[in-house]
Amino acid sequence: MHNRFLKAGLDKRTWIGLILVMTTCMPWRMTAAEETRLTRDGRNKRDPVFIENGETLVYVVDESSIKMRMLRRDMQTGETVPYHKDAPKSEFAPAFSADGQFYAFIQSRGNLSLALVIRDIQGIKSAEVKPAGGFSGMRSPAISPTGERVLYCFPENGSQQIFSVSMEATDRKPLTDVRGVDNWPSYTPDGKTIVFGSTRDGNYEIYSMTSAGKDVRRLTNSPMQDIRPVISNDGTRIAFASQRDGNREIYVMNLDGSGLRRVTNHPERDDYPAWHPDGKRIALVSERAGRFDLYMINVDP
Amino acid sequence: MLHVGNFKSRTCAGLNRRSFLKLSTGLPLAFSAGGIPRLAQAADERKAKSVILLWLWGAPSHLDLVDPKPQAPTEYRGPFCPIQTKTPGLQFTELLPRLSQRTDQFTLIRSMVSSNGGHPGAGTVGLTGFEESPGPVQPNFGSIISKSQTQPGDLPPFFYVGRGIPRDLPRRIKGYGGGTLGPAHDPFLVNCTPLGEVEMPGLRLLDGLTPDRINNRQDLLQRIDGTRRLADGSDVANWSRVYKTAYNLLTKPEAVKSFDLTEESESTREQYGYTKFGQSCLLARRLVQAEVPYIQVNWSEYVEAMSPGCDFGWDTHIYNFELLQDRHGPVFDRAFSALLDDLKQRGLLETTLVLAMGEFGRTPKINKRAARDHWPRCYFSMWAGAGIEPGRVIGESDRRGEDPVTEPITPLMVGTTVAELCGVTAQARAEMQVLDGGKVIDGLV
Repeated sequence: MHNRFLKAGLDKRTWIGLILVMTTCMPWRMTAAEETRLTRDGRNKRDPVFIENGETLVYVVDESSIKMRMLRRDMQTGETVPYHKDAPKSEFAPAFSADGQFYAFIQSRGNLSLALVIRDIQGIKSAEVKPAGGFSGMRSPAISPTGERVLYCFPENGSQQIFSVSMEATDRKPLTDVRGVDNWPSYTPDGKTIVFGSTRDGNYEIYSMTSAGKDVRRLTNSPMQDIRPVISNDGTRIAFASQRDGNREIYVMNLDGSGLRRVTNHPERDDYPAWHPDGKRIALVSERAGRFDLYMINVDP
Repeated sequence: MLHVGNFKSRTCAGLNRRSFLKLSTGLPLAFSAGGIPRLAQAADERKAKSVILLWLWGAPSHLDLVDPKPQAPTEYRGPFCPIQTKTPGLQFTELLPRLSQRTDQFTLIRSMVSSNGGHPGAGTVGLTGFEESPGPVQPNFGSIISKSQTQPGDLPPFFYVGRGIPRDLPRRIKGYGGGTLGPAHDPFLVNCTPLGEVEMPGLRLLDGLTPDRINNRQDLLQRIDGTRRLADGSDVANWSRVYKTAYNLLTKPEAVKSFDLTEESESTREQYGYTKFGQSCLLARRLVQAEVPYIQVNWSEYVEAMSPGCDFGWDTHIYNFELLQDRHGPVFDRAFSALLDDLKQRGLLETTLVLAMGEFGRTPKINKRAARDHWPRCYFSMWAGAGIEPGRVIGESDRRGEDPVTEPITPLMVGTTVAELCGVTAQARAEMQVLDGGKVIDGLV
């Protein structure tokens, strides 16, 4: 039977084949068609993290030129409200326990002085690792899947190490002891493995180690920055930001560093990846046309 | 959107009917820059009709941006990868990918030194060329250019674009303005938000003063005069300039339009980035088009990088590497690159001097908090336009970036070079009693 496809000189099967090839193989595949823009205010943002089974996204925005503020966004309605109603000083780097009962974040306290705060979500219990004397600040908290320990990073003697404290902010234990800067620890769901970024070999690369700080393995090898590794909820993959292709993009690799692939492709910065609990999507902060907004992209298994 | 005082007023079609003016008691400081020129100068001698100083307040690290030392010991070199620039043999770090592709548009000085290692003091040195003194300090470079103007424009000759007078938590810098030349040559302050909304803190709006009434000079004068009487101890001699500037701003659409970034195409605004510094650089370019002679774009009001109430200055005693990679580096890279491109495309770069620098550098050796402290012994400045031969590097630091191994370049030399490019001759400088003993930077002009 003749139809318009045949009139064009190609049969129906050929046309369908061409369309399939174009939609599956062309380089623009990971762009607008498979991404969702979550915010539109354009303000500088950072630190997205999903909670409540992916129904809520917590992130940090420059509320003003002098303050960063944690917000919570309802993923169904888009309604966005401050995470803390009253937050007179900058708060950022939120991290949540797997059961959603506890969270930790960094809070600006004084001149170049920042504390690690650990709370239950009811706000009944609160503990903190106070800044040391002089200029000092904690970084990048992560709560163990069992909800028993909190990791954070802190610089001493010119290097920055990963430490572990109890939920009461006591019993501090160093997990690393290297020359360089360690940052952004992230737990596997079983709590046995931690991935993190480190400059121990000269520039930022991604590493893994046991939860006791043993058996350190280097997972990336690029002269440019590889930063902010985040483990997927099923514990099989790591998303991270890298400058390796000239500007900051999001990459995904397996837990052992294999299977590396780039999942964003945009001339401006893509950063701060956060896995959705379904393991199929990643939220990120993307600079587009000079504005900073949250986007969600699909990621193949 | 233009904010006159606390009020938002669309300016594309001029001031709307609800707009009105009140001058606050803070106006003498804010408005005192509208100077009547006294010293003659030949306009055709000027290579720089305008100057844009990008004042990187708080002091950026030279090693982490434009003078990487990959062969230095681990405790010095930092984590950022050096990348090749367009200039053979010159490397920047990976934090400046855009500027690295524009080194053919500017010249880098890597051998700056300051005599002062504290922010307010070094700020005064950096902006005046001299240390603070018990009496009036030496004038800001912009105030010298302001004083030298022969043709008063509709707008004040010396602008600050930023939240306020640069300061650290304890105090403001003394060398922010006119100094020995008097408050008539203080900068006129405007602020620009990340979305490009412009605020003029020195103006306040008052019900009842409509555009029609603004056009009634007598009415406006009475209002200003009434406010003046409220200003205890104000400089009465400045009020004619206050009046003139206020009148021009509110009655001449072309003057007001200089502050309206919505006049720009969306693509232009995007190029600069929707950050406070990015849109401030765009505003500076519009002020150049309005023939404003000197615009100082302040990165921040406070030096402090991460302190309550402070606006993320470059003083990175902690969080140096995080802030530089996540905020300061990308924002500066984008905005400065866009400014150079924009000025060049509009044919303005030939007559506009663009200068970027802080008050000093940061310690080459990483401090105990895995960051960098103050380092006045070696830092950098970047120069473009107005006859500066681009694509070069002047000066060199030693293998750890601790000291220049070539002739040290001082802020006094910076100010003298700026003045020369603006046509303020040695004789004119002597008459003003400014920049005494300064010399032009060898090889730059």
